[in-house]
Amino acid sequence: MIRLHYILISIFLLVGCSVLLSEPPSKIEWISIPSGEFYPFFADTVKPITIDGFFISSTQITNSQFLRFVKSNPKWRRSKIKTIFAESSYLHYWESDTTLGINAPPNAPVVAVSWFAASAYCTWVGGRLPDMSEWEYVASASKNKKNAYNDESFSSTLLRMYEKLPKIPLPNVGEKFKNYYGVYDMHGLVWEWTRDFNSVIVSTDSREKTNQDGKLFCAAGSIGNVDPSNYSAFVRYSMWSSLQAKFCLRNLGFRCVKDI
Amino acid sequence: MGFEMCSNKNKLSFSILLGMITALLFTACDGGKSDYNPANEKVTGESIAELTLPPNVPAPIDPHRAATKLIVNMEVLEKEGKMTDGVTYTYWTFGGSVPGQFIRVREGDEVEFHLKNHPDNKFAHNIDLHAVTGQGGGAAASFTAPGHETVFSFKAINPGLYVYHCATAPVGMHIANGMYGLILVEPKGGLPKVDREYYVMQGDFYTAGRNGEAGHQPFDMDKALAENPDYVVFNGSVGAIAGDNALTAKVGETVRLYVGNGGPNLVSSFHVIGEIFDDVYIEGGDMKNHNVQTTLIPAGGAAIVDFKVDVPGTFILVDHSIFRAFNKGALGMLKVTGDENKTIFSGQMEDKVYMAEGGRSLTLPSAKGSTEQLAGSKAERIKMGENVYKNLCQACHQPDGKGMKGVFPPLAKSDYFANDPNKAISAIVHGLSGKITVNGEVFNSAMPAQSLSDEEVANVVTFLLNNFGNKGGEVSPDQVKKVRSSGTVDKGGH
Repeated sequence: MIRLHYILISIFLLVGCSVLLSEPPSKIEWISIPSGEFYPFFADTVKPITIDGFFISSTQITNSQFLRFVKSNPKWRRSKIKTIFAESSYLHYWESDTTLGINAPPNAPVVAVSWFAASAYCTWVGGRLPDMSEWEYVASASKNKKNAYNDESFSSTLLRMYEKLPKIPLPNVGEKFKNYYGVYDMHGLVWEWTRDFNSVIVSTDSREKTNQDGKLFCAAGSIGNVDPSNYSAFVRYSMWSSLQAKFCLRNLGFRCVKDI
Repeated sequence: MGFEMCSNKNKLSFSILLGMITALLFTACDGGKSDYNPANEKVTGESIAELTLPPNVPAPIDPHRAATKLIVNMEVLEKEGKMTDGVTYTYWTFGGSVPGQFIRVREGDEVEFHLKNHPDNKFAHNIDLHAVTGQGGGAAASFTAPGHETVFSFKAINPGLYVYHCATAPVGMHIANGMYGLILVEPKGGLPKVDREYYVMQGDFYTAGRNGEAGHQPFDMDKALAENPDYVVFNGSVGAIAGDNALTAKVGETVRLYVGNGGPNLVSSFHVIGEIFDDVYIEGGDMKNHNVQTTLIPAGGAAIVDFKVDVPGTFILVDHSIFRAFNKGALGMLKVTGDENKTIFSGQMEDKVYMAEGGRSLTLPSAKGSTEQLAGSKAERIKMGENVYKNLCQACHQPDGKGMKGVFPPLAKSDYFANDPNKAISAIVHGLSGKITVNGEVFNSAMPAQSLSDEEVANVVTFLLNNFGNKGGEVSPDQVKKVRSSGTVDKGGH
């Protein structure tokens, strides 16, 4: 009888330990984005590019999701992270290394994380950061239309959403802007990291023509982009080109993608 | 021999004297000025630059001060503010104000510029100062993400009044939201002294709603592209330098306005009503014009205007593209107090009656197209009367005959002439002034007599009686003739 108990307890412990030691379920909802054609904002020609299908997280990664990550991976905690991977404002609004506190609601998007930290998280859940073209492809969807980028009203709507971006403590993900694919908050909550965020605007003066990269370079009147009156796109691209990989900004979070 | 030696000595000293005089002449002609190049002036010392909120400027720089290093700390703040009563707008600002804080340096100074982007801001920003000689006016060097600070340095090698503005894409939007200001680079020795200095900057704003539409108004991209603003204002909002916020001066003082134009689109025709600019530093540069009424300030440009105020009053600053001043907000005030000078300006001396020839006052020209066609029937009379009404009466009494509250009495269901159409006839042929009560409302105004023929009066009164809910009836030209000769029916003044 006692042996049976020991066996049962051992089995119980074994199962329990394996659950604890393995990656906890990330609770990320992955939305399938079918492949398609897309006109990136910075196109040299007016030919579309083909985006291969992928999965994208339905929301930005939240404080509670990122908390699980740093609990399992101590080197990404605030007090332990190397300065090369994140500047001093990394997770500054959290109460401590492993507690969120009142400024970090569990279901709000995690912000003040560097590109390095965001990339590490996405790798941890079996994915990666989206490319800019993948991100823009999903972001071009309005509530009811797959590609609303040519709609002037969509660009104006986005500009107005950007004017009203919220401050810390941030609201929850998944409650406001839901687009055609069922992906939440591509606009209106926080800016998001992409894998190749700095690859387009090389110049930091938005009026000059760059020599190195003949793509996007200027405000209205530029000839390197498809639609010079698409101000909302300019705003996003300006934001991305002001960043460096170790920056940690209060209004910059991320979401992940998975290749099919 | 002694004489020769003497004369040689004299010749020598004379030559030396001549040489010295010539040398002196040359240096005097030169004036020493062309030797000065601010680009080469060495700086001494270091201090934090004093920045001021509009409409104030920092104190003039000590003319004896050597070139120095100045540290400018400029913070970008995105904040909601009031455009006009009931209307708010999200402004993007340098230093919390539109226009941004005023920077005052001297040619030869070295400026260490710190641009700080508040961590709560949503957008990246930078700065292009037109006083900077260098890539992008500093824009590339100062491109700053929120929660960051960038630093660059420049030497002010040209004097003048310069615009600064944000140059982050989309540039038009950043400027349209208020990201502009002025930096003054004083010439060595300073500008001529004045009693008052003020900072005024014009800007055009583009909102989704029209001018005055209540609520929070977002920026409108299409209107900005079409260069069709809803607001054109001084210092960021309607009334920013008017009323209680007016600029002030005393009679006898000299006033200097540092006037900028942030645009983004419009050029300003800057004028102060009731004043003439004694000096205008054209486009903020060295050249001075005198005795100027209105000066052009380009978008992204500036001007300095100096004038002495000689009489008291409220002098209105406008963009003389006048609909902008009165309908879009391009209006400011300079209130001057002190003793009057009746010789320079007397004010109104008298107001007296002016009688045109013929003795009849308050007449207006007759209705258009008065061919004396006689009405054959009541229906025809009404039809012709309708034309008279449309051409002449409806401008005041309105197409629905309801008039305008407090100004023009109603003709609809009017109890004024309901029982006596002669009162209507009399008002038309004799005019009507003084207090009357119509449908329970008091009016106290003056209707001019109308130059209409008897036929026309009969037609229009018949039209009135049979429209606008009145009881009906008909009036004949003979009736009109009678009223004409017997004088005003209702003398008013009840």
